[in-house]
Formats: sequence, structure tokens, C-alpha cells
Amino acid sequence: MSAGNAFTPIERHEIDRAIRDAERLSGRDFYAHVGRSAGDSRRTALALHSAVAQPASSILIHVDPTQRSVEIVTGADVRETVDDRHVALAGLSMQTAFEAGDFTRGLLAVIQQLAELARPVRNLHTDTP
Amino acid sequence: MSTLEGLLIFAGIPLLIVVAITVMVMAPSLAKGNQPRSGRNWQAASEWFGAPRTVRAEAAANPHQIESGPGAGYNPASAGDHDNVVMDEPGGAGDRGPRGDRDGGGDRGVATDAGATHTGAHAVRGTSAEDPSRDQTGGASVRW
Repeated sequence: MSAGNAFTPIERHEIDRAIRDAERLSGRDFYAHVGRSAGDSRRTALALHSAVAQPASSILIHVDPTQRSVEIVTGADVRETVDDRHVALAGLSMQTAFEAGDFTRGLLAVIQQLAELARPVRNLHTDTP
Repeated sequence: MSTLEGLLIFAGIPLLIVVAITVMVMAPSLAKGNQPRSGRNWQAASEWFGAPRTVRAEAAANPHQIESGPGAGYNPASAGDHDNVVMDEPGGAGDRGPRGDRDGGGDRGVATDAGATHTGAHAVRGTSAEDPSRDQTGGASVRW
């Protein structure tokens, strides 16, 4: 079987747009990678995350369809505001879609939830002029 | 009303409606074609989202950018013990990471080993509190 494309152009556009919206909302960098892991999927996700431009303020979602796993890696700055338990709950939102083979819907769901989680909390006392 | 007319009205029209609904439901999946599903038979190429198109194209041209093994592409002694390495491509965009051209990037090309935190099927687990020796990254692992 030859290597095909996992996403149609429309699906790619939707995911790209979701990432742009998430970055605008949260002020963090979002990355999503769908593909095979080189061995352990968590370690691969950490390797990918460390290779981005600003790992500390980045969120990476690594989907390995062969291992049926999703790894979400948050940088050090992100982790100050986003609890890992909340990240795990966000990961649950895409589980149903992934089980149905709908990677686009799953990715869109988790990106939106992570963007909401990473959104900076507005303090009315200090943010209001 | 003849028998034929009755048959057309009371059987033909509902049948047409059923066929139309079936086509509308199945059309999107048919349009997608033979999309690869998850599992061992996954054959699709890796895809990056959130990276500039030029970097994506280079990543597609170099699918072996991620190499396993402590000796692949970087001196592991300088980054601690780890199993996976993102290889640097000297002079190329690969050494800047997926979004290296946004802010100049750097020479970062090695992942720190934060330990595997996998659980069984349909399991979810946060990863920060399990290994105190890991770096500052957090996150979660989800299986489906």
C-alpha cells in the first residue's frame, strides 16, 4: 500500500485555522504532528517539542495512529498556567473522534480546549486602565 | 388511481427519499476515498500543523528527520541519556525546528528524556508528577 494522505486539503485548512485561532487566543505556539513515532511515542513527542522554536511557550500534540496514542507536551511557561490534569481531560475530548477514525474532529476539539486552558487569566484590578 | 400509480406514490417516493438520505450520509466518506485508519496498517505520511509551509515541505522531503538511537545526529553526551533525537540538518531549516524561521530558532535538536508515562488502553494520565527528575515540560498521554 502506498503512502497516502491522512487529511484532505479542506481538513488541513481547518486544522491550520484552528491552530491560528488558538495561538491568537492563548498567546502560545501550537503544533500538531500526526505520524509514526520512532520507538516510544512519549519520547518522540518530547523530541519534537524540544525541536520547535520556543519550546517553553509551546504546546505540541503528537498523534501516533499506529500506536493509537496521543501525546500532549506543554512547555515550562505553559505549565505554569495549565495543569497536567486539565490537559489530560482535554485529551479525552478527542478520544471518541479518534476511535471513529476522525482525526480532524479530534484535533480540532483538543486544540480548542487547550487554547481555552492556556488563555491568560485577566485580572480586572491590574489589567483595567 | 391505478395500481401502478399507487405503487409509485406509496413505495417509489419513500424509496427515493431513503436513497437520497443514504447518498447524503455516505457522500463525504466516499469523497475522502480510502483514508487510512489508525492501527498497524497506517501508511499515510507524517503531517505537521503549525509549521510554515516551507518547513513542512522540507520535513516531507526528509521523512527520516527523527532518528532513534543515542548516536543519531547529535552528541548525546551533551544532552544526557536519551533515545530519540531530532537530527539537525546543517544549513537547512530543519535545525531551526518546525517554526524556526519565525524567530530565528536555534541549534536545539535534542530532546531531553522525560520518561515514558504510558498507561493501558483508553487510559489517560498526566505526566508531570511521575518523574521528579524530568525537565519542566508537562502534558498528558491518551490512548484510544
